[in-house]
Amino acid sequence: MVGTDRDAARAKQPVNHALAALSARLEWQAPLFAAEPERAALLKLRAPWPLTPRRIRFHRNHAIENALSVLRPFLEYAGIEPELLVGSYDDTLSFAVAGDADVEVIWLDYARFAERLAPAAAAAWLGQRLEALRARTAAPLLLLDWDGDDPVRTEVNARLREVIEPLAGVRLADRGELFEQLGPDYFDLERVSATGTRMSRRGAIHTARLLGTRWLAALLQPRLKAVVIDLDNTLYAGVLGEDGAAGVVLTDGHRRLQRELLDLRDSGLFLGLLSRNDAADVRELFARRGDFPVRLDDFSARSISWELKSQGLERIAQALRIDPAAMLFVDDNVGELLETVQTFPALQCLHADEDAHATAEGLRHYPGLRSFATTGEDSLRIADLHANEQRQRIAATTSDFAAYHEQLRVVLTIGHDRPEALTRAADLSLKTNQFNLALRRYGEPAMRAFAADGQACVSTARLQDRLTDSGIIAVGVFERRERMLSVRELCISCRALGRQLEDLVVAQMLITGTHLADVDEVVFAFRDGPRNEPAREWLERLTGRRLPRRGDELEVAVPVERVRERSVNPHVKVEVLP
Amino acid sequence: MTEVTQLRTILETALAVPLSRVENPSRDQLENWDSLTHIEIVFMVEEAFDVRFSEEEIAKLRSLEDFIGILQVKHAT
Repeated sequence: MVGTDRDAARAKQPVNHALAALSARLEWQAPLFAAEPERAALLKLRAPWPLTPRRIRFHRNHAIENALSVLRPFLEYAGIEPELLVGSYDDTLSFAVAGDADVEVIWLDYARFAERLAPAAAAAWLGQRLEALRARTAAPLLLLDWDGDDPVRTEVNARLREVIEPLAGVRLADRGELFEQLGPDYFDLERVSATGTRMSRRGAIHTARLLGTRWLAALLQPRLKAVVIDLDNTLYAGVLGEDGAAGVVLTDGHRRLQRELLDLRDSGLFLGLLSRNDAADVRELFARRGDFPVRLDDFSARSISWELKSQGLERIAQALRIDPAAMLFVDDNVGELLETVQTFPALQCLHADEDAHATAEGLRHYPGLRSFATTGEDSLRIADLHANEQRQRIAATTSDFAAYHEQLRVVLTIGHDRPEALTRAADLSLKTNQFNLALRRYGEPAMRAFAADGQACVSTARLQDRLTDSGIIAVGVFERRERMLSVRELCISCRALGRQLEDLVVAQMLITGTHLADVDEVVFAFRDGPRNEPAREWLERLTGRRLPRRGDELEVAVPVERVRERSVNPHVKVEVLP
Repeated sequence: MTEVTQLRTILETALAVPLSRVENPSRDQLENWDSLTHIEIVFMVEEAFDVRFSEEEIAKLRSLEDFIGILQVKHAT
């Protein structure tokens, strides 16, 4: 084989792997997303795609093994190769072994506490135990919520939320939808002696599914940012071009699917519409079909044309400013899913079933679509994208960026070690892929530790203009080392990129902190990742030289004066929080 | 697939060992058929044959033949 043929063959490898993985993942959909998943079908699944190893430790006081045995396929679908570390039964939560896992899960049979403790006392005691565990590990802690009868469950869970609120990186897994779905069948009190738990066979399997695809996936993997969906035989039954706007059918399953989409949108995910159809027909469809829960305006980006789906998807990715790897594409046509994955091997796909209930179930359980709480930043993201269209119009009519910033009345607000900003700071570190220099992925406990450290500082930048409040869009973690300032982590949200503000944001975070006095140089940690080319390009512009492409971390020194030069922009108002 | 073949497949999946040469796989013969795996097997048999075993029945089930026998009784009633 000549060199070029060999290169071409090597280049095809990731695509071939992606296509093979997609075929396998489509086969997994039925057993994973079944209304009633079957244990035998789940246990046979073995992922042929690459997985990231993760250690997950369980603290428990009842038999959870029959849930954990079916957890693996759900985690593998999320790209995680789990090593499950299960401690012995411990009602006292002594946490005899802890601290060497990527996540610590506390999964209790609360009936054992309910006999002895009033709800408030039980919640307070659990809070103390979580605090003790928090002090021993920086890993996220996941507490499965109270499993008793209502109204006690509601009361205890409300109190649990209160006690964990001040604790960094502690999340409460809300099983409310499972208790609602299974009712009394969540429990099996007749066989406790045999099974070692009050949890039923169905309770175990449904909990394992939410544990794997939702709660653990949310703690261990970056969240997806958009769901892009096809129209014909996906959002409704029928073909618009043949059946017409009045002829396509909204089945109960499609209604449920559309409501799932709206839930995801409300939680901060973008919706995209990708259809090979006539644009006028699609406009007429949404205008005429008042029975559709979803409206055309709910889609933040749309591509309706006769071009290839991969081309349309690229257009949507550009409009949303996100990488296709952060998208889930839903389509009933396997050929079109394959075609898009051929172009974007890291794209996530969900095959739309003829029974839309199955597709809705897939959306309900697809890993990476849901986070624990919808933050203010999540909802800001969608408003910000819509404002971007106006920003682009302003940019097109202004002569330069100075005029652009002035017209937009940009305000940058810098904060240092602000406790209320640390959750968002961790969120940026964990999720930012494009403008992320070191990819160190600090969680909330680590951010809190840096903020409390006298030699370190967590700086954040909030961006507002007359169109929207973009919220906190940047974080820097800085550490003083004699006459040098080390930039351990530096991230800017992709929604703030393209406004020519990167230099100002970084420089202001650096110079307004207390750590730059008597510093000669700023040393940026940088590591190449799959998608952080924008961060590399920025650092190369700052240093004025090309950086070597290596797998390991680089330390790039810049004279402090070069940073100071970039801290001034008379057209942007800068405020520093006390 | 016959009931026996289906039961054998369940045992092989849960125990993660081939059992084609074992005439009547049982808890006494197979070390990894412990109490936790036993519940796993019980759950899989319940799902596959749409039956439910009581605590007493779960305790008495110790081999492939036990499962075949109890399923015959349950299907007959």
